[in-house]
Amino acid sequence: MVLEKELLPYLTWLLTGSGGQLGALPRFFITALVLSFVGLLGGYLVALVRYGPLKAGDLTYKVVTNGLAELTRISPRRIWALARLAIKESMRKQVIVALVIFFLILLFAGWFLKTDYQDPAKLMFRFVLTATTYLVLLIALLVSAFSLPADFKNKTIYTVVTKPVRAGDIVLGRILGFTIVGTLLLLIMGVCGYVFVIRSLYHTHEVKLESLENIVSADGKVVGKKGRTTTDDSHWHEIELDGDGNGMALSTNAHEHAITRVGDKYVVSGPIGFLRARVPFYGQLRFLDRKGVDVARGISVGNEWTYRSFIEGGSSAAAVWTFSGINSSVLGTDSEGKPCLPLELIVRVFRTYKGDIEKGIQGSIRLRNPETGLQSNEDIFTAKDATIAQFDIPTKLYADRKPIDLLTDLVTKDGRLEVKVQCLNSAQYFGFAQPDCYVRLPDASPLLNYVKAQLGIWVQMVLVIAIGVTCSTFVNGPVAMLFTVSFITLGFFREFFVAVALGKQVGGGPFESLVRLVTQRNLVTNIDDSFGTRLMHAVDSVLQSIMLSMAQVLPDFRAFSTVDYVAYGFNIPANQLAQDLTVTAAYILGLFVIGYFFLRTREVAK
Amino acid sequence: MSERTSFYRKVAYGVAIAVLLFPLALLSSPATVNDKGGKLAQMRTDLHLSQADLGKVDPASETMKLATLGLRGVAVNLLWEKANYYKKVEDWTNLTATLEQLAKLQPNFVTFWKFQAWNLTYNVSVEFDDYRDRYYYVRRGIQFLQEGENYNLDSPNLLWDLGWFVGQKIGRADEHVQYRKLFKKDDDFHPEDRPQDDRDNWLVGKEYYLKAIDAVDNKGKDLGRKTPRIFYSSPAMSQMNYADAIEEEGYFDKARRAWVKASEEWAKFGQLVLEHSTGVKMKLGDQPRLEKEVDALKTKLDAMQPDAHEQLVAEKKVALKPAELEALEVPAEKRTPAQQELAYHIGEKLEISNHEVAERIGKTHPDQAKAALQLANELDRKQKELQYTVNYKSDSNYDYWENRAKLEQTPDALAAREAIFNAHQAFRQGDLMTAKRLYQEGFAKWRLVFDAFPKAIDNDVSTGDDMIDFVKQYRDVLDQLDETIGDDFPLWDAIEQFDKEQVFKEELAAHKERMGGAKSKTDATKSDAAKTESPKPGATSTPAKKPADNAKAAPAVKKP
Repeated sequence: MVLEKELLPYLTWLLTGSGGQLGALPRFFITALVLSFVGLLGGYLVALVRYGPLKAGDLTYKVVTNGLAELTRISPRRIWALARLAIKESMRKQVIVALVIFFLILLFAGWFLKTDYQDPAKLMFRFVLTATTYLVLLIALLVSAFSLPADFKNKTIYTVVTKPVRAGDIVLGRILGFTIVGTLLLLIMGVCGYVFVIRSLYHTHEVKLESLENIVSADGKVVGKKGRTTTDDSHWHEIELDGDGNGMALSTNAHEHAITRVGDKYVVSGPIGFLRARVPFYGQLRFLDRKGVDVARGISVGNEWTYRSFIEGGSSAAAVWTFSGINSSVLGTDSEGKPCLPLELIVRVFRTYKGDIEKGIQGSIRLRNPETGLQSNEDIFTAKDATIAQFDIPTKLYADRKPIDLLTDLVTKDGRLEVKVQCLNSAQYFGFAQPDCYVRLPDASPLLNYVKAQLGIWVQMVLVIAIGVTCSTFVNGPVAMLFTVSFITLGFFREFFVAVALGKQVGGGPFESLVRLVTQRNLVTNIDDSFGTRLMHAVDSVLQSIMLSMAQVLPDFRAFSTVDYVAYGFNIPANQLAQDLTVTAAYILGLFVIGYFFLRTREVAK
Repeated sequence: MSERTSFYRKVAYGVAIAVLLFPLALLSSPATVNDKGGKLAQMRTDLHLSQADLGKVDPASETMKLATLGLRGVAVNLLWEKANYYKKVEDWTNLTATLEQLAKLQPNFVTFWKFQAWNLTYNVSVEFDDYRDRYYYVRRGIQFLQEGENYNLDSPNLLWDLGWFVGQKIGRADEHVQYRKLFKKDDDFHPEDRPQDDRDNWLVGKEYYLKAIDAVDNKGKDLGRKTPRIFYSSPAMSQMNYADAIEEEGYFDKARRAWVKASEEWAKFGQLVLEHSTGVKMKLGDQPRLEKEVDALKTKLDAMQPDAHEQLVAEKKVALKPAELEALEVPAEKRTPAQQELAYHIGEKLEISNHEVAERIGKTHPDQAKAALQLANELDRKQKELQYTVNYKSDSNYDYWENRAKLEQTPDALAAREAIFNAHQAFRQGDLMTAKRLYQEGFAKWRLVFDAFPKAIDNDVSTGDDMIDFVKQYRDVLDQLDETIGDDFPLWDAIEQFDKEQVFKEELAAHKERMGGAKSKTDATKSDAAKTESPKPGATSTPAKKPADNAKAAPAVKKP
């Protein structure tokens, strides 16, 4: 699968960071400090205008000390009581309508979604998870942004604040209550979505009896049959049967079927292989150029998408993955039950000349000890472009003619092993990215993987609820909703937003874009230097600084999406979930504190 | 503002709305069984713009259009962006699905179907290494176009593109050998009642071309900006391509019948009235008739006053400047660049139009003035028609294809191709001697063909390219036998004519040197054959030119 950003180990991500970026925790503290300072300064300035410097200082001090004291005295019991109130309120607001809409979408999805693609499961999962995400986020937005303002408007908030509750309890109670409602909705949608995918993908075929031909061995004996299935669901399979009439319908559209012979009839099973949760064990990729010298990347073949880079065939160019932590626990067994290193490799082929069209490009794979330099004999393979090829590398190998053992001779004492892949045909190229080669550990449960993907949606939902509730503490419902929508939209396009803020996006900053729009200049047209242009850039610099500051607190919604893992049939790493949950917890904490202080400014909640 | 003013304003708004609704109701009242409906409904019927007239009525498409709540344009833009993104990141499943969603949003936007079908067939397919995967996306694009045709029934543009995609993409790609096999075996693509023999991409393409022509000729559909010359020649061209393809695959008897049919269809195309963008109507096969008519009219005009033309030229010469006259008197090869320039412009000045001749006749013989003018007008019209015909013929390579179709169906050409085909097979199986003999037989037959159709060796680039490939294969055979192409090889002139890449440069130079400027055996053979009557298409070769006799001439020599 495509992983454009490397997933850092949890502790590295949390504490130290990488690539010049701070860890998540230090960043959180710095942001919190800056925000606190800005908040304090803002509060003091407002008080200064209204009451003079001394009283302003006194007031600020009191608010901070009281606030901090109150924040530590929140009561789970009160929060739960308020959460129940929020749940009841949501139910009264007919959030169940979301479920009706979801069912309607599933009901008519068949009109738009066909299964005659090369990988229909990918499409189905993506559709179901995306539809769930949008609906759940919409509901989260509506219930969270309008709840408190409605209470203020209807004065029902007085029935709450007359009880001994603190502002913090109200904020946390709302967040918790709406989260419970959203979780229930998500649970129902998740189950229905899964059933929808399974039902949509389910199909079977019949063996086309007239297509069956005998497979004859070298000594003239019939050892099996080959032929094809009937066309169902817009596809058919080639089939191979053994002498007893059992066998497989070979892979088409990313699935297979088992065939068993029962009496005179062949029974074809449902699809196998649509639902997977491969557990990859990744290594670090480096490249060697045509002279065998280490380089950061391979050659560009002119693709706009630079995810993969390429190595030249018939030269010393190679892609080398270094795996750490290789030991007997990562070994699997091959089809004969012998221990092996189960490697999977995705090769992207680029031909500079067509050559023999019916023959694939050949490559070699060999294992190497990074310390001793000892390497196994090359295993030659024919590249299947852009598909996952499986290599069960036996533990008993040869280096020249000398027998060697994978674990003792090729793996270093600290568990490192190199996998070197080369292209053998001159002037042809293989393209790789880091996630293209991995040791495949035993598969995880696809159902559990789906649940994890729902957890990714849940994280986004909780964030929206927290943002919505916090906004609703200081503005009215529609404004809170707009504010939250802006937050979500910018969060979904965070990368673009940051690129504009940093001036890396063609077309300039916001004001320059506006000028280009109005004057009908395209993104790259040069704008003459003039006073107006300089003024435009000055305004943009100010706006860009504001944007950059905002970007520091903007959640990256796309990063929470784990849809691709499920769609491509890969297990969602626990590390990814842990990072997502940590980020959410940090946002809830920050938003809760902000929400608390804003609510305190309201007359009613003091 | 008083309450009364507010009330009056509301009343005024109400009245204005009612007044505006009235013409709206009249204009847009829907048609019923007994009533033609309002103006809009009538126009919709007249211009065939209702959904049922345009093509398939798809509830999914309508639902999607309605579900966008008037933001169809925005949705389409977003989906196009998404499609571009999926293409960039090589996510082909999602790209295809996105295109299908787009299609539901803009089902009657013909350019969209063409553009995205092209994208799948031509751009996405080449991203794959395995030719079977490539074929999958070629077919996917074709099916996408078929779907487009369902939504836009009888669209000549889409039907013609279907013909082009099925014919050209499958039949002209580097992988055409594999694609054609896969296409034949593609049970999911072909309707059940299509005979196995008709499962040829060129024939299926031709079916679509014919449907496109039928849509224009019989169903009143607009040809749009497509050139009639290309549009109407496509079925016959497809037939030629079919004949060529099956010949390449070794089906010679079938190929002969296919060439005969192609010849007939080409002649029929030649008799079709085509309209030039200027409104001139013509038939490409009418060039000889037009030439005769122009000649006759010219003779008739000249006969009215035989010296009129000379008189006019002489008068125009008198008006020339001395420098111009001097340039004219100097022989063309001795003129200076300035004189050449002058002479070129003088040529234009001395040109005499038919009207000038007619006016001169009118002056000399006033009684014939009217007749002369009418004759000049008629001559102008015919000359223009002839000029356009010649241009159109040249653009569509009309003469070449006419000649080619006639040539290929002759027994000699078929025998030549069969011999070369078998020679190639023998070479691949390692039977060098048989390969050599068959190549020599084939070339001897080709000699007969070129002698019978001399135009082929002058301008038949396609056959010429084939010929160079054959000679290259022959040279490979000889190389393995340690021999070279002999001086008595019968097609040295074809090599000289068609070897644009000069792969036989050295051999040709050596051959010419050996022949020492004397007439080569090839030239001798050619001129001897030219003396004999060229065999008519369909006639067999004379016993004197048996391939075996030529083969005995052993057009190969041992390497020194």
